Amino acid sequence: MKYLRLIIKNAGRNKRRTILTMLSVAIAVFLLVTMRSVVTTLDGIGQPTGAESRLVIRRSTSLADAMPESYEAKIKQVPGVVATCPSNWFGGVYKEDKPQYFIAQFFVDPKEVFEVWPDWKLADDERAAFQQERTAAICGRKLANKFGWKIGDVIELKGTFLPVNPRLTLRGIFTSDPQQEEVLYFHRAYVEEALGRPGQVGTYRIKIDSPANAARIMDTIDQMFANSSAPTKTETEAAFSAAFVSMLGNVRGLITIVGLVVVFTISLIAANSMAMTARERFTEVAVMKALGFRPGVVLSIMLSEAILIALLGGLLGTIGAKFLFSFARLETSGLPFLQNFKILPATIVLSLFVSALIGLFSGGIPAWGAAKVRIVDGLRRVA
Amino acid sequence: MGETLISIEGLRKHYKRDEIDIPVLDDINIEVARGEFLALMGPSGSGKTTLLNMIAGIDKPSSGRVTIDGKNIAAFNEKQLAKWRARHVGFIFQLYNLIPVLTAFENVELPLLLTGLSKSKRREHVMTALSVVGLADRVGHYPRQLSGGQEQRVAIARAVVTDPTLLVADEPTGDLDAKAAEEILELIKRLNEEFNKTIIMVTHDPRAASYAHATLHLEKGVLSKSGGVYEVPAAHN
Amino acid sequence: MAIPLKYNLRNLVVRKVSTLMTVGTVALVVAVFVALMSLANGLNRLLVSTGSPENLLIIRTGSQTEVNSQVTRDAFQLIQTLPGVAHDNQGKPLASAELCVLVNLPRRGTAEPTNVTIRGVSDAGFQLRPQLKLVEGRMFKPGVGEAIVSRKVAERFSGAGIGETIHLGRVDWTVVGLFDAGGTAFDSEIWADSNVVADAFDRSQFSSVLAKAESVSTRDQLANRIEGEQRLKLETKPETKYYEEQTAAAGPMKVLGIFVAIVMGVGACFGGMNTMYAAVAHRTREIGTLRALGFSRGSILLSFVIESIIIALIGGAVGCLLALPVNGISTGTMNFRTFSELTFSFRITADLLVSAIIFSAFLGLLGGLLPSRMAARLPIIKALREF
Repeated sequence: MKYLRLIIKNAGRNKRRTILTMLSVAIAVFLLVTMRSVVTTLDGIGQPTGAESRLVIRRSTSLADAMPESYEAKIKQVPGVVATCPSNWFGGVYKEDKPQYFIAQFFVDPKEVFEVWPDWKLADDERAAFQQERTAAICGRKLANKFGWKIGDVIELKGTFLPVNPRLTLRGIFTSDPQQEEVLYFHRAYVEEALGRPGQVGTYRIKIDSPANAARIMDTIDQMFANSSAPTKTETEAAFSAAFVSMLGNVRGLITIVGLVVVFTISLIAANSMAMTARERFTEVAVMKALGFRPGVVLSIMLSEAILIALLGGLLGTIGAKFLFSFARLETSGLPFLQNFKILPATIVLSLFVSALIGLFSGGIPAWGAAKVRIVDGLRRVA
Repeated sequence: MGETLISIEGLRKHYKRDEIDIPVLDDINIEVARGEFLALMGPSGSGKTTLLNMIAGIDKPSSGRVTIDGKNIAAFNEKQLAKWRARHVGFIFQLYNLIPVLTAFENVELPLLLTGLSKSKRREHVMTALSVVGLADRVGHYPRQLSGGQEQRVAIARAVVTDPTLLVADEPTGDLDAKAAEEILELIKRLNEEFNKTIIMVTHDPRAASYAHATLHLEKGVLSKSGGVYEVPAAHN
Repeated sequence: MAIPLKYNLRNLVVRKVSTLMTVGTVALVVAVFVALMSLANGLNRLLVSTGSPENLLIIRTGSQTEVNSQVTRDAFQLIQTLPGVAHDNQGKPLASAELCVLVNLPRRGTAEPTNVTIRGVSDAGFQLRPQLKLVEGRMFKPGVGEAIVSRKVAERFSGAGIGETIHLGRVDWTVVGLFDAGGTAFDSEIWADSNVVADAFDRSQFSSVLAKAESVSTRDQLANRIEGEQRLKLETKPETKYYEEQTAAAGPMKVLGIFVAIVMGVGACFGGMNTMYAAVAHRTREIGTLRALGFSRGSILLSFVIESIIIALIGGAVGCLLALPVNGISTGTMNFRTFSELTFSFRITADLLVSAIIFSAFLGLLGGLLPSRMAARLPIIKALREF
């Protein structure tokens, strides 16, 4: 494009202004990338590998209520159910009751757990060691890295709603997708014995043969227990997790509104600086038009300049966010659910698109004004 | 003299300001032959720049015809005018009006971007134009690195690079010292004599006007004949 | 010698488009700041204002929250007889055994379920929380499936309006009254008779006991007495402290508010700097003239900084006005301590507005400083020659 030189040189004319404008766009885009990534991270919860063929059964009244152990045998009978595993939230305190020490922890059946989550990669000897020992535990690679745990380490938890303080030995570290790697599992029998075998199951995790059968299986199970003393509610794993996230409140709405205001504010800043630029180039625009440049060309040269500045700003903001969040750990800020905070490629594309839009919007009105300048007025201003 | 290039008939121009009509030009009739070098003189506010703008196609008359090379440009729309200017008019301004971020070469190249010329062709034309104005050794300089006289010469190179039919100059020496002014006027004269360019120049300086073949005087928007070397018929039907 | 303020004011009017745009940016930044902080403020305020200082909350050791805790009927009997527990004018001990259960309720509009606490109480429970007042309908009758809910819960959850029924546990509860707990945490709860709640959810034990000490000064003695009963395995917390500890729930909101406000503020500063640099460039000759007239560099600097602060202050004031309508809007978030929803309102206070105005003045100062310094440093001769 033969005007590219002119566009680039124009952008570099008032360097200070261009840099300030670029930085303000960069900051807006940084915020956008961050907030959008919070949303995608929250959305990503409940979508780990194989989630579509796993269901969660809980009491219909509340998660705090339990189901009898006897349900498991009945659930296994339902056609389409491939594997079942009782899984209870333990909610113990590790070290100190602070967000940075928070651990997702469940006590489960040490054999069935691998049937429901067959994709975990765990060395055979580690698996055997975990299954043999009542006080053994396994955890995901990410969690082990976070606390620097090695196999053989002792992990002490203090029970909160259950009056048990387990003393566990880490016998295996598995790898899976990042979300599942955040979890600690130990023996159901350990807790059950300490409590005097109440036989209470918080949730049953089940694996089914095909996601297509999910609706039918959920219905069958809930029907089966509808008239018992402990009716159930069966959901897909995704829906179960999403419900937790939705309890945060209207995060998506809040972030969307704040995001829009941010974009609008920065557009205003960029538009202001483009308007100042356009005013200063009043005469030049008139000269160019006198030379025979059509308004459309003048308009697109100025617009391209605005878009260029905004895009560079956007790029800077995106790279900045990528860079910053490769160091910063958001979970330590006390924000929940952000252990797997990640900036998706789609978010980057979206942000660059938005920054181009900021350029278009901010450059549009001033460029339109410049294109409409009457040559005679433009020339007279200086002469 | 040769064939008629510019023919202005019954040209009027008035501005409306706060509901009051302010006449600027009233019933102007001029004919200018191809290859002419005409000076327009008159006190400030006499309408000489307005007349020049009308001939250059950057302003439109309220009524009347401006026929240049057989075309009535007063009837052109914006788009046609822009295209016409790019092909037929070269501008020389009092304050040079070079684009500060572009080098001498790039400033001269600017109007060529509107043509379909290849990059190498453009380069050829630019170098020719800069040689004509004697600045072939200053191609990479930015306007701020040049003297006023040099800047104006770059502006003249920009005006002639497209080989236009007509050159219009508005006080081309108004901002220059005597010596530089003389050089510029010599250059403009050379363009007229050697390259046979038709030139219309607005000036308030009689010395500048003396370089032209003919001088027209404007007084409050009306042509007044005076002791010019060459007389233009004030009216003819 | 200071340059008169009207010089700045008139300049602001002359370049009104860029003044308005800059005012607009500061206004939006301040509005976002006020709105987000009022959210955090509302949540914080709610938890801090919940509880009476002489009340003692008794839960099982290590259980952290009422919902996780269990207290036996025997333990409750014992607590009632302990010396130091206040009595009402009929001589009954002011101790309330309560049963808290988390239930899942769909929100109105979205049908997305969220956790709400249903609290089973007896008469003493009301006596211990005088801030809770019935505002519509009537009190639930003991022994039947009737409940009262806070006005905010009635607004936010389907089936929780007066006259409607909600199925929770094994009981269909009819909502017979609405209460207002004065903006405390109880405004997020459903209250019913403790025996009926126990039946509905198959509970044989209580969750917690709330007991009133004879006075604030004897409260800790009572606490020691209860914790001293080793076999009960109970711990006590002053009621106010129990809720204050939950203010961490407002943390994420505060982090978000401050983060967004600061980052946007920096962006707005850049925009303000652009405006002020242009203003200085535009008035170079004026600055030269003022200096020639004898105004010092200092007064030029001050004049431009003041101009920048004026723009920002106008923006700040507009931003506060923009944010005002959110005041009082109620919303909810999960309390990660109890896993139940807390209903609270955006709360704009005078303090918050003052800090917003200070924030905007600060933005003006930061944005104006460098351009003003440039203005002050212009050499007179050069400035005068500029056109």
